[in-house]
Amino acid sequence: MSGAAAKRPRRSLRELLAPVPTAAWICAAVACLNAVCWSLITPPFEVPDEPDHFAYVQTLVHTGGLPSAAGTYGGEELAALEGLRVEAVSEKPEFQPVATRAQQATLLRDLKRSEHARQRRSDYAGVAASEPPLYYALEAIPYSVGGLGTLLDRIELMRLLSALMCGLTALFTFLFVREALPGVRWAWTVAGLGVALVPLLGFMSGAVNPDAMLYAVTAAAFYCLARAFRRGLTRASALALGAVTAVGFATKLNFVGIAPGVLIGLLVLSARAARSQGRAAYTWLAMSLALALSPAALYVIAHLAAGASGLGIVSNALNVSSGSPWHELSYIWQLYLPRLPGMQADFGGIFTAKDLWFRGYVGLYGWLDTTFPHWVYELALVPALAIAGLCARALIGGAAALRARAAELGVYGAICVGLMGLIGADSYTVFPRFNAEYGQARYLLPLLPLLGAVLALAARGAGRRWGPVVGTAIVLLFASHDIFSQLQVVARFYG
Amino acid sequence: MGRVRVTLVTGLTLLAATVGLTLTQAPMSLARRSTSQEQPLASISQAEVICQSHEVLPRATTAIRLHLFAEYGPKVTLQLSERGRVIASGQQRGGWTGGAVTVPVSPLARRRAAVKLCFTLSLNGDETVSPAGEPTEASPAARVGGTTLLGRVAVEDLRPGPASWWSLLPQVARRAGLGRAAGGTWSVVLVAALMGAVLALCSGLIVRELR
Repeated sequence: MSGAAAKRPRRSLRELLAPVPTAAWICAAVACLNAVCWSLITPPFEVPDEPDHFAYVQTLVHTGGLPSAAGTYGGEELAALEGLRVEAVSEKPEFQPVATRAQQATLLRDLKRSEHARQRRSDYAGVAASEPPLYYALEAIPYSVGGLGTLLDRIELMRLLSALMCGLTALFTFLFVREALPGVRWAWTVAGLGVALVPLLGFMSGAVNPDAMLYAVTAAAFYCLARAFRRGLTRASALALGAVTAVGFATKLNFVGIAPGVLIGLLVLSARAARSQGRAAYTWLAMSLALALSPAALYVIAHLAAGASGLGIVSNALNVSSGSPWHELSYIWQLYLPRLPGMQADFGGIFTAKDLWFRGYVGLYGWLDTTFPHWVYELALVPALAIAGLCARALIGGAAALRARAAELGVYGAICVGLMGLIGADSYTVFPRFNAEYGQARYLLPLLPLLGAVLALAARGAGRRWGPVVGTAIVLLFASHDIFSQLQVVARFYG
Repeated sequence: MGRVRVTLVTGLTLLAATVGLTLTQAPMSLARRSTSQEQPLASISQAEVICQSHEVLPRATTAIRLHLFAEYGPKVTLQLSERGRVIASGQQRGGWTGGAVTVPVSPLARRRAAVKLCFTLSLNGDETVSPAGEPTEASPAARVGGTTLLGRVAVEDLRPGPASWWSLLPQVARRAGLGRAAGGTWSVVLVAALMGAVLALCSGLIVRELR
């Protein structure tokens, strides 16, 4: 280490965070509070796979090891699932969870009986068993803090940690838009608040689910990329990208779909930096890649040591189990876009972009059993198309600037294609037994920073005079969507 | 007052009014459930018309919930007929999920007995829908094409309940406090306060930044 570097004063956390605008913190607070509301209105275990994610944490805490996909939940969780009537309620909107004080008393009595540590021991975590452990290790903290209370206390504390991660998602979305679209300051706020109020983000981040952390980590990756594209790659930004990628790999397997885009971005940025920095840029690249790929390498080694496939469950997505590669491509295409001539119809009667993804984004809560009336989804198309139109107007107006940033846009595109391809490939492995198994809008929420950019562009597309007004209307639209989504969930579970 | 402030005040007023108006509506209530059983009756993957007779529909029924399981359900078209005459019909677009699909129908002015219920699933061969219900003998069972299912599909008739959401608020608040860490209606009050804080933060930031 050089003497100059050794003498460089250490910057405190306060100094490091000083450049973050107050508006970004407020967006983070809004997202966090919103997710806390969702955590309070959604009954325990009425979020997809929450029982499995909770069981993963319980396994980590009580056995110190990783869970398996075979077996059954611990006695305490079984008592909670039964007392909360999860099996009867999930996917059946005609049934509701605990509705009387007598049921509540039985639930609390059964939880009290089963709270002995031995009753918590189980190494079963269902679909969550194949996930990497970072999110669950963090959730072990609130789980342990609530160790003296019942399972209901612990799950609420764990949900609050997810809500904090929701705040980070909004924060990094704001910062991403600030770097990617630096020209108009007020538009950053539209992006930050819009994303903070996305109801599906609040719903997922108000639950025990590693998706909450994946959204935050991916938003951080988008921010790091945008910052490096705007200001140039430095050693610090290369290491930050590597660290974020490593955290992403350790958070959820879906990051496998996002990572190729991030790594392409790192390569492009390194090649650019090499023009001014010479070989140092490639040294940063090597350091960043080593950091980024270390969790993935550990994952492969752990699986090989256990005698399993090196890529574990990820290898499922790479296998063509039920058709030709051409049909798999055709299936993935149709999962998002209208069928082209010559393609076999895999989604008869469904316009997937609208009926799966848009509908899922507008409102599909609980175990995908809580919906709005049909007309709401049709009505929602009007503001969605208006936002898309205004965004297109802004993009056309800035076509020259877009051409200059083609490589950066290509990297964001690669992230989208990677994630969507992974979801499609995973869904194809169980097709036609199940159609669009992973066709859930929550899996696309790692792309929320791009939604933030679309919102900012839409507000800018209305022009300088009307832009702030349109921006205000967009935020109010998202707030209304969020409030009515919460009311819908309240009506479904407690009405 | 600037344009942004006018938009903000107008928007928040509209939001409050819409929420208030929505709460004057009555929630849908269950008027009749044909059976509480949910045994799988068949696995259907082709476009078919499924019919079952002898349905009794209560007055003011405005929606029919059919117990069909599908990963992502196809378009469902439903028709109710009495003595060969169609008395109500409705459809639900594809994309529904889970174990039941609700099809809105034109309201029935009076109770109807001996109704024949038919619904069409717009399937193309690659998806599967599993009707669920009560196993019966062949004669009362639902029919699809020329074959008979293992029983009758579970059907629920829904109609607007007698009370508005406003009048149900205390009951909803009480239920929302059950089944969680610290039970009590306070959780609903807390959610309302937090959402108030969210709106206040958003409004303050908009006024400060969007100029």
